[in-house]
Amino acid sequence: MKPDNTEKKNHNLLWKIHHWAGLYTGIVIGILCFTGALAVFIPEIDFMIQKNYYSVSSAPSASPKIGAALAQVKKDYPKMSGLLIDMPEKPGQVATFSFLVKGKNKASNQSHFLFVDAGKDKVVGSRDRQNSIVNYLRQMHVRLYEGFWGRQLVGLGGVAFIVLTVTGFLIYGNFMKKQPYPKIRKKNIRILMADWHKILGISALAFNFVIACSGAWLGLQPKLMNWLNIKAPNDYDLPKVMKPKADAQTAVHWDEVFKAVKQHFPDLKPGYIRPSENGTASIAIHGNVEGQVYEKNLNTLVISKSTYQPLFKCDMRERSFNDKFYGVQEALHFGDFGGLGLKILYTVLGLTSAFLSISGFVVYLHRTDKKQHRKISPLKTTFIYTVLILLILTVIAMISIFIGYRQASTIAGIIVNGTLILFAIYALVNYITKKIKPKTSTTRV
Amino acid sequence: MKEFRLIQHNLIPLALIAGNIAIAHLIYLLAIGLYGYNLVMVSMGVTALTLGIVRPNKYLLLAGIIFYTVVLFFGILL
Repeated sequence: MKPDNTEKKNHNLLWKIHHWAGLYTGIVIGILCFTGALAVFIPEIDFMIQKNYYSVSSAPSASPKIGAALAQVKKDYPKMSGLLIDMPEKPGQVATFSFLVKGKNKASNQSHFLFVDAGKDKVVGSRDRQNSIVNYLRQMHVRLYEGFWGRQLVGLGGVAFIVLTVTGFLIYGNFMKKQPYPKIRKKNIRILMADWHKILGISALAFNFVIACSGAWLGLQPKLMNWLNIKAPNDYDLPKVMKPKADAQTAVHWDEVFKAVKQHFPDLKPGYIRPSENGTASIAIHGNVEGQVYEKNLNTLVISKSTYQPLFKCDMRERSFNDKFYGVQEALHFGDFGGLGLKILYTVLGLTSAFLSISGFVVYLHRTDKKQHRKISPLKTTFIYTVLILLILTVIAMISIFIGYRQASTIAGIIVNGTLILFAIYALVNYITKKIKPKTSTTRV
Repeated sequence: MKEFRLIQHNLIPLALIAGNIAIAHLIYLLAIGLYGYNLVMVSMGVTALTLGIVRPNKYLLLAGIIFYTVVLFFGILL
């Protein structure tokens, strides 16, 4: 066989892979890119809601004060468990206490989320975090609001996105032919959309590749870590020195805790703190070191509840390449290492990627329009699909905020799994029909 | 035609890939306030890549891609 024919064959195969991967996963990738473009601003949105809706803030203070507020909360909720203390990121922001009060069964468990003025050391408000817009954005992007295997589906979407970016890069040259970058031809809708698809696709290629790889890893992370026995850099195992109940009731001098952090890990800016309740008599302080491109709160210092001496330390600067590579994934995915400027860039590029799934779908519909004899024009079909998806996203958001997280999650689960089953049936029927019918050739852009 | 293919099908896509990373790198350096030689180097890389894509010039593109790749590797390793 001549080398030209081999090249053409390879090119056709790459195009087919790009085409099928895009067609079957384009919707998921589009939704993930759109929700991701908004999700990068979760901390900013949350801060704005706290400040303007709940009207809570912290008074200025040299070091955070939470001791008296926590003592009061422990008095008010004696059966509290799983306490997590989120520290303010910026001056003026509140600290938060989130914990669970266990009921007779799982359904009667109550989760609490309290705002704490870390300057005046008192509780200043509360809210239902599960039903917040911020939680909606997070859950929709991380697991499509589907609790059973949503996260894995998102991970698989990431894998498909990797395939799309790699094949897109490899077939780009052959599709551009004599067309210079960034010329857009306006001959008809199909050519126009195809040109935008190519130009925007290649312009945001590196971004898409990074997002796809880190997204695939983050989505499949729990399963992969389990199967491959991978440990997070800040995983630690401490011996139990007392009974869990006694551990939970041990009084903590929070000033000593913050002093210990300054002494043993001076660069650590505490993000969240978790006192132990399992008998290890320890306090884990997770936080960030300024200027690092690692997952939020990956740096960790664990100190003893009694002596305030370090028991475990994870300083990412001193870690191996593997640990650093692990740590960099989430930061690269959410773009939270370069301030607001980088987040804006991430949003613009994320929306560009969402547009790629729309433009790709329009091109596909145009290309197959004559053969399929559709009654509705490709643009109208794409518009209907886009509006329908946005409507579903909005309805789930409304249910989540005004009715409840569980109800929204159930509906999202039905939609996601129902669509998957219908899609699988459609693909199977389509495959069988094509096998029975005689083959027809397809034309490309 | 050979030159056109080299620039349009190979160098510009590579420059765009490098440009994506370089812009994120530049914003990161500005955000953390690292106004040193590293920032100057990355800015030079971004300028060369942008000019190479806009013009479109083979030598600028090559210079931008190679220069920024070296800056990035030094940034990661050091």
